Amino acid sequence: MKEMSYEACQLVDAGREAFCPTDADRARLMAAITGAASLSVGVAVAVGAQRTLSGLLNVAHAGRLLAVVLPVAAGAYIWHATTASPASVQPPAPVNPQPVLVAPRASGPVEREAEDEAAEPPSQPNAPASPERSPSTTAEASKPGNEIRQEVALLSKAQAALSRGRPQEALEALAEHAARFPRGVLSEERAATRARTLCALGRRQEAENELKRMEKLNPTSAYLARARESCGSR
Amino acid sequence: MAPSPAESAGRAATTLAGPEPTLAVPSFEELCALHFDFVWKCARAFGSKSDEIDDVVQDVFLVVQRRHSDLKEERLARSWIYGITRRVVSTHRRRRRERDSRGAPDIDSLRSTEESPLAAAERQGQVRVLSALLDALDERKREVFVLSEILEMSGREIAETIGVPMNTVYSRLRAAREEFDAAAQRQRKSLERRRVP
Repeated sequence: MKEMSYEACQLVDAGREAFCPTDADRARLMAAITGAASLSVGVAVAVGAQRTLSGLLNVAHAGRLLAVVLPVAAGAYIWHATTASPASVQPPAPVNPQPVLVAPRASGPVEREAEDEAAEPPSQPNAPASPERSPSTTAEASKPGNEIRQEVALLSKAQAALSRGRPQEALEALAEHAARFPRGVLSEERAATRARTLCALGRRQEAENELKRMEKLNPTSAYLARARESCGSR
Repeated sequence: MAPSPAESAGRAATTLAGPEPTLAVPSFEELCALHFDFVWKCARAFGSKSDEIDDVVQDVFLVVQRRHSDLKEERLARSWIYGITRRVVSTHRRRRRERDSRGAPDIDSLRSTEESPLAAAERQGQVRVLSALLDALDERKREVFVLSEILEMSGREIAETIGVPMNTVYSRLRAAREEFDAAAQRQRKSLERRRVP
C-alpha cells in the first residue's frame, strides 16, 4: 500500500499520542468503573463504597456514580432474581474491600463537571430516591451526555415494577423508554423486559410477537433466551 | 443498532480461515482492564472531546456490564465492545452537536497542557486538523483508517472487529489513506499560502 506523505504521517502521529489515555486517566476511570461494578453485587454495600469513593474522588462524583450504579445494581439483581432459575443464579462476585488508589487530577473533567452541576436544576424523575444522593447527581441526569444513564434508570424502574408485581407500571416505563430512546443502546433489554411483562399480564400473543421481533434482530441474544425461559416460551 | 457479538463473528468467520479455540468469557473487571485503552482511543478518534471522554468511557463500560451476559466467547469481546463504543460515541456526538449549535465553546481549544505554549499550540493545532480531516472521511473509511492508523491494528484484527472481509478492509483503507493524504497536503498548502505576506 502506498505510503502517506510526511504531513499526513505527522497528523497521525499527533493523534496516536493525543488520543492515548494517561496513567492518571486509567487510574481515575478504572477506579470509578470497577468500583461501580463491585457495587452491583448488592445495594447493601453501597454506603460503605460511597464513603470510599467520596474519600478517593470527591463527594459530588461519588454521588453521581451511585446515581448510576444503584439503578444498575437494582436492575441487574432484579433481572436475575426474576428470570433465572435458582440453579442458574450466578454467585455474586467478591467485593474488593481494599481501597482503590486513584491518581489525583488537578483540573480534569470530573472537577469541571462537578462545578457545572451546581448551577443546573435537578431533573431525574426516574432515578430511585436516595438519601445519600447529593443535589448534583440529580442535575447530572439532565446533562446532554447522560442519555445512557437515563436509559438505565428507566429500565431499572420497569424491572423493579415488574418484580413488585406491577406489570402495568413496568409497561409505562418501557413505553417511555421506547418513546425517548427508540434506538437506544439498551433497546434489546427493553424488548426482553417488555416480553416478560406482557407474559406477566397474560398477553401471550403480544409477548410472542415481541420475542419474534427480538429473534429477527439477534437470534442468539442472551436476553431473548432468558425472556423465553421466563415466559415458558420455546 | 450495534451488531451483536454473534453477528460480527458470523460475518468475520466467513473471511477468516480456521476455527480458534474457545476461551472462557472474561469477567467484567477483566474486560475493563483488557479493553480500557481500546475504548478510550476509539472514543477519542471517533470524535469524543476531552470534556466528555470520561462520560463516554464510563457509559461504554456501564453498557458492557449491563450486557455482559451477551458475550459468549472471549474472542468476540473486542468486536462486541467496539460496537458498543461506536454506539455510545455516536449518542454523545449527536448530543454535542445539539449543544454546540447553541453556541457552547469547544473545550479542546481551551484546554491547557503542561507542554510549552508553542509546543502545545502546535500539538493542539495538529490534533484539531486531524480531527477535522477524520470528520471529512465517510464513516466506513474513517472506521478502518482510525483502527489501522491510530490504533495500529492489523488488517485481520480490523476484519474481526468490524465484521467485514479483509479485502474490504484493505480497499477501504487504501481509499481512506489517499483521501486523508490529499486532504493533509491541501491543508499544508493552505497554511503556507496564509504565511506568505
